[in-house]
Amino acid sequence: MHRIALQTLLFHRAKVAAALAGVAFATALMIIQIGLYEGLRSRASVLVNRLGGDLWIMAAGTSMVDDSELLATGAELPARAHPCVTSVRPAIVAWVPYRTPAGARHTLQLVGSDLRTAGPTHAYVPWSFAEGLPQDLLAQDRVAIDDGDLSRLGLAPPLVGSTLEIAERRVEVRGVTTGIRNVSLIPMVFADVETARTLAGAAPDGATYWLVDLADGSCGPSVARAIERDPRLDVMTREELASVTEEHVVTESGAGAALAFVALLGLVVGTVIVGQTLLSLVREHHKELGMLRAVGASRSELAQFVAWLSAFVAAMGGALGVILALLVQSGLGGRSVELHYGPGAILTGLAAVLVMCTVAGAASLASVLRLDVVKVLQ
Amino acid sequence: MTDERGASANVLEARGVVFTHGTPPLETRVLHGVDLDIAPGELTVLMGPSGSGKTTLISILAGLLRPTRGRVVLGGSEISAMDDAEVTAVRRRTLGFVFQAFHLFPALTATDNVAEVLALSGTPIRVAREKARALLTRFGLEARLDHRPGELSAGQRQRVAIARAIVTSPRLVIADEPTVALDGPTAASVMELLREYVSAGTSVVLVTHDVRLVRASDRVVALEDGRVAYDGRGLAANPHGAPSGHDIHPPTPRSSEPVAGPEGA
Ligand SMILES: Nc1ncnc2c1ncn2[C@@H]1O[C@H](COP(=O)(O)OP(=O)(O)OP(=O)(O)O)[C@@H](O)[C@H]1O
Ligand SMILES: [Mg+2]
Repeated sequence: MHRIALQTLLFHRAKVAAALAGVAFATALMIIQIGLYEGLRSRASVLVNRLGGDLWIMAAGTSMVDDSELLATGAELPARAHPCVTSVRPAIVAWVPYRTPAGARHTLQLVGSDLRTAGPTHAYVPWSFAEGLPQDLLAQDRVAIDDGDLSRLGLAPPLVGSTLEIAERRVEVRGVTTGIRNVSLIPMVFADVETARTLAGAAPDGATYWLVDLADGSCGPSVARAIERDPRLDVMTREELASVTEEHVVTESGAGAALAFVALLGLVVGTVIVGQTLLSLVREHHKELGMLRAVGASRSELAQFVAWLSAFVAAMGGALGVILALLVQSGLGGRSVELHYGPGAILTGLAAVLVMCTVAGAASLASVLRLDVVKVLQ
Repeated sequence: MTDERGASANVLEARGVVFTHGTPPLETRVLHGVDLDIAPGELTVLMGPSGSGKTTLISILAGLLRPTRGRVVLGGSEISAMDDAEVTAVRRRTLGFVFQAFHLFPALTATDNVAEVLALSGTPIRVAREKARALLTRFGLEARLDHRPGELSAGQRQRVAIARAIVTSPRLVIADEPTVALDGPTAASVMELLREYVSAGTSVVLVTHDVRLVRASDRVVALEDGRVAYDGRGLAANPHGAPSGHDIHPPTPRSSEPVAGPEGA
């Protein structure tokens, strides 16, 4: 029956093209939505993962990395005293006001980390420098900006050496990164922790977070207990903070639900299109199928005709869908939208194809299983 | 029901076949106890007015419908007492079908329309195609082997359909109005093809309104209101002209072999 099914699909090209387009678009939509979702999640947690550390000390009640407050002085002392701790590093993540050269006032996200100690044990933040080096930020009032934020910051090339007013202070751009964005698309500005403390109005030994590196991961809970004796403090592992941040972004923005809804909608529309096409193809062949039945084809052989039609449409449409999704991804390269296709995205897309073609084939299957041979042959 | 060859030699035996549509009190009785034996190598024309039950009868003989009452034995198997899967298996090894509207797959070539039916019963497709080509070539379609039904004339399509019906070497071919869509000469050539297979031992039951086909038949059965009203020899049984033995209902035993062979090849 597979030969008859394949020939039938090839013969009814125009009709089948509609079904293939339905499967391909629904699959691509599914993969792209998951890619968007994954892209959003990884963007939400990229700062946490880049800053590193095994444990993060933060203000009690912190629900995401972008939203915290300055810690009281000495918050890190219990950690420093713990024998299992190898290093404790400050990080500043704060919303601060800035003024563009044209005079407009907005808010930016300031990220400060200890660039002096970065290097062998943990990575530099920021990463992906297009111009300048991390060391260029080591003096007061020097910052790095991202080349995606130029218009929002009111800057134009040449960038290195240009100045910006942040928190009423004049700072100098000494580094330019590329492709670093937060989920809210508010400009991100990076500095050494000394500069960041000044701009964020923190004490000379202040921080929004203290990042704790452990000699042995298993002593994490004991370190956390020591710190959390102070009720104003919370401790999370880096993974926990990354994950609650992702969850927060996904649920608060409603992005997760919206993306899932669009994907589901695509699935439903795709299923309907494929279902209609298959059903009309099968109906068109009721007489021929009835003839096969009359000369000894079993019901299950007729069912195979439908199964093969569905399988071919699924295979071809699914492949087209994956290709389409990859094309969209490469077409979006470097834009503000990010698509992350893990194996999960592709597998879910292919599972969607399977569901679509199975559900779509059901009506056709029922129509051949119920085929009244005597009636169709009259 | 005497038959000197013994009942088992018949390709088909129907006894007291009753068929009723619907359920009481809204039932319509279509067949009122039909008896019919089909001997090997016999071309039987089944005639009768519209609505007399011809299509219903052949559907029952082919196991596509279950009789309300009565027995049908096809190729030695009592299909009226079998389940669907068993009847399907009997049909597969015993039956060929030709329909008025051909029912060819529009997407398949002439060769594949024939070959795929053979492939259904497990013949490898290459062997099936080989056999299909040979058969179609004998039917004068050697230039049309790779054409699709849409590129064939009605007569050519019906020849493909007949090739499809006989490619599995069935013991019985049932044809429901196979010549209605064809003009006179084309219909005659289609009949010739069928006759040729009858002479090779296949039985044919041919439903028609066309009295001209009686000329090529060994036997004529007429249905009227769901009863066999006439069962007698066809004109091919007597090459010298007029029908010689009109066996008026109820049918009486007939000679064992058809007298005439096919008219040419
Ligand atoms: N589903 C049904 N319900 C009730 N009666 C039916 C049904 N199908 C067929 N009949 C009746 O059964 C009778 C026999 O029908 P059948 O199709 O066997 O006749 P036929 O001899 O093949 O006629 P034709 O020469 O017109 O093809 C007709 O009177 C028809 O009205
Ligand atoms: Mg009829």
